[in-house]
Amino acid sequence: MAEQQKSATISMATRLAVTALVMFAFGFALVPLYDIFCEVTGIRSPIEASNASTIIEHPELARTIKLEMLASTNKDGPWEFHPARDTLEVQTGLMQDIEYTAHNLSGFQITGIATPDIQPAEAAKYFRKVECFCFNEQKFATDEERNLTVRFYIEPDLPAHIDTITLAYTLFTKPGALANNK
Amino acid sequence: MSDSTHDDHDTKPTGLKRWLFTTNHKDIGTLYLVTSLIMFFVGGSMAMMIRLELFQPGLQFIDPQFFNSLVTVHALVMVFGAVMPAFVGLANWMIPMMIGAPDMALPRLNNWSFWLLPFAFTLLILTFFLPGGAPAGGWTLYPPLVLQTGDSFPFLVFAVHLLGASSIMGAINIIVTIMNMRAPGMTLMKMPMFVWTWLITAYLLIAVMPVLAGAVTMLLTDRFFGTSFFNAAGGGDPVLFQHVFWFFGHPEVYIMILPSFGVISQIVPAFSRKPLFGFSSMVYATASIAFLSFIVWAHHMFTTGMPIAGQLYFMLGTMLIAIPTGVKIFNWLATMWKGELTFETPMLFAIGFILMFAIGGFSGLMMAIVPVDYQYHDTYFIVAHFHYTLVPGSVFALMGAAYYWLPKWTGYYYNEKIGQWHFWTSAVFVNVLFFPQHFLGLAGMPRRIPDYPTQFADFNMVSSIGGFLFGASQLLFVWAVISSVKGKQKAPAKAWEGAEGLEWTLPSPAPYHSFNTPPKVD
Repeated sequence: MAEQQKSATISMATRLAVTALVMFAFGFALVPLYDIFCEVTGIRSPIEASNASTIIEHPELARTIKLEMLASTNKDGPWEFHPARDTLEVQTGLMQDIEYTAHNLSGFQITGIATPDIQPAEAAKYFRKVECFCFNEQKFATDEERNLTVRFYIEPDLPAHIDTITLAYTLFTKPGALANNK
Repeated sequence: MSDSTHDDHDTKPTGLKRWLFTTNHKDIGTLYLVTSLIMFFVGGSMAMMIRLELFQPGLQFIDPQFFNSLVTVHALVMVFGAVMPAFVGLANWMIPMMIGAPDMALPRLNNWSFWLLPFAFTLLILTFFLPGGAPAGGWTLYPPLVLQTGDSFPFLVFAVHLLGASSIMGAINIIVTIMNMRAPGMTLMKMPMFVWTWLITAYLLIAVMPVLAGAVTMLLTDRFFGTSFFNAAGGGDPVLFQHVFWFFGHPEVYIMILPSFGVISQIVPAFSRKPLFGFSSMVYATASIAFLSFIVWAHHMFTTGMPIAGQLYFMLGTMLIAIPTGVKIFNWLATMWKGELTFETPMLFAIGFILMFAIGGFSGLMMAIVPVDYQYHDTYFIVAHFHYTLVPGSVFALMGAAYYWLPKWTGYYYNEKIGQWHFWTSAVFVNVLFFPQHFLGLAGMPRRIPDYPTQFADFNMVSSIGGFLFGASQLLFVWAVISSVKGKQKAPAKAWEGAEGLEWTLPSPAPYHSFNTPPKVD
């Protein structure tokens, strides 16, 4: 093989190998990109508090819609977890509170992490959580039962065709929390 | 470096050493092809067990967990063990001969990329004998289910790593060979279609195999090192895995089909005795399909829930792929139009491919439509769809390629009668096997289940009978290959009357080193 061709071969192979490494890194970069994408498009219900001072209540624009509340635990969940009520009539444009109850049945001190989901997804960006137990880890003593509050505000420009919003929380046990107690 | 030994004549070590240390593109191509044929039968015997269990409703032979393992490992073996290495084997054998090069550009890398495979398959097959059994969460490896795999989980991950590394190195080698080692006068637009499709496929491999490696690495750290990439309890998201996986997975399905398009584009002109119709449109269609494959991945995930704009985008993007694919199909038909057709085995497989791949393409279009996908998702309809694209699609193209080039490889024709029998039995039984699965899917039978309600019994029995007969007919292929290796009828340099291309200017069997002095291409 001519020297010139050999060096062209080596340099091209090197460039392609670097491309493969960059694509490996890109696979990992998809993780933060996914979060950013979900946040920008409002697909995912945020787990950070909306700033209460930016919310101005509009009682004059209030419209009654139905809020359905769901609670679930995953297979690791030694919890009893349920909303205070299954459905509730709520007003757009007003700050309101709802409550969930969680009961630690594990026999140990454990920490719960809750993830929120809002359906239809289109409503997620109008549903602003001012206070939510999903923002923080929730430590529970052995056999502790306590109420968990969500303070929220539904923006009055919620599209007119949405008359029901479903708010669903899944309560997870923080990984390792059980093992540490054993 | 310049005095590295490079034999000009056919001296090579003999016995096992020849195969272990070989850097010759033909030897390595043979290794790939033989390995993939073995893996085809390994994966095929798993399919036979699956069809045996599904022959009748109820649980007869196989424990459900083992059934799930069979479904999972069958897919992994067929995708990474049978189809992909077979195409790399064809690339190794044919690309240097088709572009007028003496060998591949990076012969030692070539040896390494092949010899990773046996280790990867050992890891993968070994999982059947580990506590907890082989992976059973499906080849798509979705968490959290796949994280429940027993002791075999790291074996699965490292097998995928090795297979990925092998594919990436193979792809690098192919690109460098095509870009740097073409004979003088062989411009890009004069390259045979098979070389073109492989060039594009190799770029796809380099772009997406590392992403799969990243995804399985994240699974590994989620399982063993306390990360939470896909664990909702730790702030991760299991749906993210599906996005990362299908960012790899959708181009992957084109990795398995584009070289088939190349093969068909070689065979159809040869037996129509006409040049390929619309060569440049074929090149652009291949490139368009490759590009579109990167931006439609979420059509595998419509049922995960997606805003309407996303559904529309992925639906329309997916349907767009039908246009370049249609260009290809019509070009093949136009190539045959008013040609002097003869129907030797390679041509039969090529025509079977065009017809039946189109069926798989149409059912793909059906599933691109979001509202109906909600019905078809995870049913036997999708099983029928991708088996139509992969079996009478990719596998038929591979069989056709083998029959087409066997005389060049061995120097002897295969037994034409056996080839014809192989085609007709395969073509009939593949339809008996997979066509009823469309109906099962439309009627609501979910995929990946070992048992089913009695309403699905008849079609499943038909499908199983087709499966056993299709499986048995593949033994004819082995017979045909042996008939060529131990051949009686000597093949001339140009083994087929209408075949064009540099590979047919070399004697049959092709000499150990292809073109020591580059041929001149006008």
